[in-house]
Amino acid sequence: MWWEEVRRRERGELRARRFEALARSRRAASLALSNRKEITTPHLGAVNSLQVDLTEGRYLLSGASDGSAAVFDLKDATEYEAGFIAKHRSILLVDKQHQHGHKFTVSKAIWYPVDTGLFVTASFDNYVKVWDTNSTQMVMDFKMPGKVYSAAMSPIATTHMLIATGSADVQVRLCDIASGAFTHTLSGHLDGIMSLEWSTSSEWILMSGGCDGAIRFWDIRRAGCFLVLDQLRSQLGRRPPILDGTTDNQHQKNLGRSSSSKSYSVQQRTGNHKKQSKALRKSLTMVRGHTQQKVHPGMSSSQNHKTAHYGAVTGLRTTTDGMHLLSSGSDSRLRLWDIDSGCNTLVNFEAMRLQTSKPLQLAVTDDPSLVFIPCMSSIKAYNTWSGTTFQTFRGHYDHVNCCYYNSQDQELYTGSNDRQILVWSPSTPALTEMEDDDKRQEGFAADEDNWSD
Amino acid sequence: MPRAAGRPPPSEQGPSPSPYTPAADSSVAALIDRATSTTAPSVDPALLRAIKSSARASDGAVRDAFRLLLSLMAKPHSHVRLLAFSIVDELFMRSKLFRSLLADTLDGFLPLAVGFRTNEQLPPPAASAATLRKAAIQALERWHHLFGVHYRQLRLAVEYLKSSARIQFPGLRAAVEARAAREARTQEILTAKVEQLRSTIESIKAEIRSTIQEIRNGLDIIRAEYEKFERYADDDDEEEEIASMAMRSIRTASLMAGQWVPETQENEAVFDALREAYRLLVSKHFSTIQDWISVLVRVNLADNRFRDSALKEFIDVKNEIRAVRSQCNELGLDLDNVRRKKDAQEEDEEDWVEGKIEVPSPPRVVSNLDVAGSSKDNRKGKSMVNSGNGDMPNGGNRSQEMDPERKKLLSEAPLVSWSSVLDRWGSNMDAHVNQRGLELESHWGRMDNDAVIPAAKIAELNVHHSVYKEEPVEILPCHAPLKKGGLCQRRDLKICPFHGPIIPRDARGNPIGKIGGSSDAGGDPLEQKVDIREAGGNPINTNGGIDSEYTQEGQEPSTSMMTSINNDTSDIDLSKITVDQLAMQAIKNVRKRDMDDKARERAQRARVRQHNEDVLRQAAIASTPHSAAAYGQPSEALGRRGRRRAKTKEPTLSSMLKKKVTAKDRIAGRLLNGHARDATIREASNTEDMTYREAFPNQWQ
Repeated sequence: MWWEEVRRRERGELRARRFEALARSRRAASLALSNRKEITTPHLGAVNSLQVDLTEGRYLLSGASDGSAAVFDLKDATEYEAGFIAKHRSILLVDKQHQHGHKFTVSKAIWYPVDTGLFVTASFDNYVKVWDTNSTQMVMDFKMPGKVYSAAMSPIATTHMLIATGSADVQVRLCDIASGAFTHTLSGHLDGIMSLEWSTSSEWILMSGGCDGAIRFWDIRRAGCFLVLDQLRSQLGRRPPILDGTTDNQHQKNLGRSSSSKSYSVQQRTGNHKKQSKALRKSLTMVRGHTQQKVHPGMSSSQNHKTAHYGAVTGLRTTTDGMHLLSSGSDSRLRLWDIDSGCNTLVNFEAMRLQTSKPLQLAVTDDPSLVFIPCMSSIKAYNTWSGTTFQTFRGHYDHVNCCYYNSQDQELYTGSNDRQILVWSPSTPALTEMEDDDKRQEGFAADEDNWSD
Repeated sequence: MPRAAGRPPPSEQGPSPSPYTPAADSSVAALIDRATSTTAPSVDPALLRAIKSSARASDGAVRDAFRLLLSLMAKPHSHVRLLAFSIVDELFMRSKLFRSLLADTLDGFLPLAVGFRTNEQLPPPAASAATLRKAAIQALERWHHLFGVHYRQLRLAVEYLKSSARIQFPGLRAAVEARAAREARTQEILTAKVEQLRSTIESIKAEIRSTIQEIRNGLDIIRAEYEKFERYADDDDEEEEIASMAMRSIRTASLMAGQWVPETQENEAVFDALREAYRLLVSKHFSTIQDWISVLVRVNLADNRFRDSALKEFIDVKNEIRAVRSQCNELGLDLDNVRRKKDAQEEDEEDWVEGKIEVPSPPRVVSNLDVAGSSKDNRKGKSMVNSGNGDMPNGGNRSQEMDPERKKLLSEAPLVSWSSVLDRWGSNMDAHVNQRGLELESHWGRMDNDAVIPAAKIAELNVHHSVYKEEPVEILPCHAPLKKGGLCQRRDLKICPFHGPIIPRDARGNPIGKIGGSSDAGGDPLEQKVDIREAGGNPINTNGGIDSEYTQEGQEPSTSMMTSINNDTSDIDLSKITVDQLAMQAIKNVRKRDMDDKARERAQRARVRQHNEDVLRQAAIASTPHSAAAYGQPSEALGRRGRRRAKTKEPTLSSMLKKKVTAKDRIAGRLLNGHARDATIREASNTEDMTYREAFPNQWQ
């Protein structure tokens, strides 16, 4: 029981870190639709994107199909219904009525990772716009060659402020907020780019998933992609088998490094990134073997046509420790990749059915034990390592597009085509009932058995 | 019946033909299965109660029920879903566990119940689907109202259905709010009334008190008079000295029993005043008091002191009025019943004032029997009207005590069709012009007793009438030979436009009775006689055999043709009949026999055709069970058919899914057929016309 752990912690049998991790995972395991917190969306269309800001973990940004983006305060409720149902209304809304509002669907809305003063929206009207949160004004915009499916900013970047954008065009473009221009154009994909993800361990490394089924790794300091994930190249287990030879020690060292980066989070963005990323690059190249080391992967055509999914790659998500990558495809598969080795880990995620035509937003818990993925009108939580279904969240009445796991509060937010943003929070029935009793108002029927006859 | 004695009598008090017995399998699943596998429009209440009580037993039972109901809701049959949904609704309102279970799967459950998704429409039958949808939406609204606070899923569902699926909710909650508003408005009005009462209460009370005082005064006067009268009566007795003890006791008893004060010329004024006051008291004041009491009871005031005191006073006044009234009644003042002296208008009012609903005496059957009974008293010999329905409630017991003479008379009385004449049968009273004082439509009015119609005039107006009914006459075909062969089939009353007057003809179309066309019709008395007999509508001879006809007519079995003729023509001078005529008559008779054979054959064919049609019609009706009632089926046939159907099969759930041929379909089909038929007929007639024109160019007109 929960109290058992508290007692062990009291006795000193459990260390603080471990205790915290246990509490977090316990809460994450008890997620259920929250009756006491609801988000009232001003959106008139499907909710496509959700993100909580990385600095405070307090403001939820959503982008919707009616071309609007809204910000909600997750801590302070706008009003309370019946005394205990907290209703969170949007505190900021940018929609078509706005002077510079998007004309079409907002496909992605992301926070500027450093503070909540800026946010970025990407839209099907070919524009990526940067907004000032406080004045609700557009700061700058980038015209793209096609519908913009995805945009991403590195959560750990200290040396650059680039927005990676994926569009119907085959190239990934990097937009620089500092200069207001494109700095990079990354070519390699054969079709539009549905999903983008920055590495959480190196600020230079970008991952992109395209409609051609390929997942490409880019080092933005060099030309071309350096890795194309191949679904057929696989390893059993979470780590690749240790190779013998001279690289052994080096590899061990790298592993130690990268595992120490587990504790990396947004707040702790100090440290030796350069060294870290170099080590990562090195290990990546080394694992692939000596023969390929000389060939630049971007140049090799045999490497160039590997696919990670049959069909489009609709979603990408790295774990917080930066060691694994989760990808979803229009082949209704979820794959777990070892970034270090670039191998498919062959975790068999149980049967699911995914939307095929839209970018999906996946979510993982902090210790990557659970992965949340929108499966049509429900959200499924899978055990990351075993692939078994942990829980199915049902509540939406239409296809779910995105989910976001707020690791600070251990809450899950999901956005769907039915225009709702649902909050799934850890539920401890006994506690909530006690609180309900305190706050209950008159005039509502008690939720009790009523067998009159 | 020894077997019936052991068994309780079949349940008559309740319309519960439920096959459920508590001894039977009582697991929730079995009960639900049984409840949802009927074609009944709703779940049997007894069964529902059983389901509830067995689900109540344990959480496991609730879970079982939930699982089963969910699977039933997925059945591709709206009626099953409807029944399952009503059980779901029942359990949802009662069990918290059931609520939480359903809330978790509400997103999957709702499309099955409401069918708002285009790719998940509700399955057939359509009628059940519509009911289900309506019931589901109503239930959802109710759930949301009651438990929405506790279940986010319910709020979500309602919000989604309202805003995204655009489903109209009936707005029962709004109705409740409206009712509350109405309540508030009435309270406002009541409060205003009470405020008004504050100022007027004294005057109301004073008025009533004065009326009561008036009545008491009147009663005192009458009592005084009564005592005087009684003394006078005693004096009488003493004076006359003929007071046998018995007579006197009878008289006093009668006086005391009714305590009846005779109303005489002297005290009429007092009585009138009393009556007036009494009426005022009872009709006006009493109801006023009652109104005020109801107002005071219903009103909600912040300060209840005035209300309470006023209420108390009013109740006191009410009791006072009651006391006065009972006093009057005790005294035997027949104030309520003044119909002896006063006219009908007052009678009405008094009846109404009393507030006593008279138990209506069993309505007098204004039947012919009544009339007959009344007429029996004064006029015995008069011919009576046979009612023909001796099994009527009062007719029945009356017939038992009827004397044999009356019975005999009734049996031989003629049957007269009903008419308004019978209303006044045997009465010689004057009639009121306006019997009920009805001047305005639907309003009782004053009746004028002087406006009467004298009995003589009534008798003059009372003429028995009956509606003329034509007797069906068979119109014979012309049967003149046609040029192209065959006989003319035109049926005209007297004259065929093509072949002249219709005369009896033989099988080949030759006119009978005109051999060689030598002798003309009209002069022949015999033929005239025959014609007359035929036209006189004796259709028996067309249907019945000739022999029987003759036996009937001739009264003797060994009838020859001669005697029959003689019988027929007994009034015609026999000397005129020549041998030729006789021979002709003989020929005519033979031919007629031929004709009769033909007619019989035709009748036979008609009968066969009729029978065939009947059989076909029955078959058609049997194939559409619900239309049986619509057609005028003879009850006997219906019963037989019903038995047969019951034996073979009754409506099942799967039969509900079968497409029924609706009236619309039938009409559509008929229209299609009609179009086709019209086209073919047009074509056929066109070609016929063409051939006819070619064949008979000179006859075309």
